[in-house]
Amino acid sequence: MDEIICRQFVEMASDYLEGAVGEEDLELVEEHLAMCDWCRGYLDQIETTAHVVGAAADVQDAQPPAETVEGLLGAFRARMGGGGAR
Amino acid sequence: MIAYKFLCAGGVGPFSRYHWPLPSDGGGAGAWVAAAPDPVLCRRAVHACRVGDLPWWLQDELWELELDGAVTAGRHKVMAPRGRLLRRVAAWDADCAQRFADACAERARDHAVAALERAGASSEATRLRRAATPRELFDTVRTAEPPEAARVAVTMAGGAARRALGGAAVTAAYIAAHTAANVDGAEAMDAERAWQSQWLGTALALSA
Repeated sequence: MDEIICRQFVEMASDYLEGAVGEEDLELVEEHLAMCDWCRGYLDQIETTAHVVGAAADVQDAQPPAETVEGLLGAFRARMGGGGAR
Repeated sequence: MIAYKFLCAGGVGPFSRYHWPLPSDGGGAGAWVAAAPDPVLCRRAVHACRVGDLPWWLQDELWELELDGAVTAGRHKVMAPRGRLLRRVAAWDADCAQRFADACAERARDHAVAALERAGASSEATRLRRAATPRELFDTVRTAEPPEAARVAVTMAGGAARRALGGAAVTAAYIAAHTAANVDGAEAMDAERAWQSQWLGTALALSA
């Protein structure tokens, strides 16, 4: 393969971002990127999306501090024990 | 080995986004940069160009670079374990890039003219040949009525002109090379790329 076209770049873009493209394909991908502003824009877009999704996943996985959890549980227990469920 | 490297404005790698250490104002070389273990830098190696590779990689800034260690050659680049910037090639600036883009559009026009002549469309060929600037070429192509055999070449010449008008030298060069291929085959594309390399080498007074 001497060159790739945009459709082939799109297929390889995720691998490229992850550094999973072999040296020979890397040259083809970067050669294409150097001259194709549409594919540069596409790459920026999926890179941004990956960062946003990654950040959202980090937030989901985050745990509150232990004292916060204990405080909330204590308040919940007191409420349940004091007045019962309404 | 002395080679060349195109960087974005400010000495930033166009793909790695690595901020290259620049030479000092006093003329000293920039610090050595090793590809490994830095995972940010070009992933596996320091990448650079020979003069013949330049048309594929045009960016804002061109730097002379010293490569160290075992140098390996790709199709349109060379790679080494480490490198350092020696000096900026000041002759490569926006004006030079525009002149190169315009020259590439003109070459694409000439290939399209050849296609028109071969297709027997001599009046269209004459009209296209008279387009002296990318703007004239673009406007001429918009109103051209080429025969089917030359339609793609003429459209590509218009594309080269449009990209030259937008200052996209690397894309104008790409289209000119592909226009040559469309008209005269793969060897013509190689010849077109060789012409582009020679243009750049001469304009920038680079040693091959």
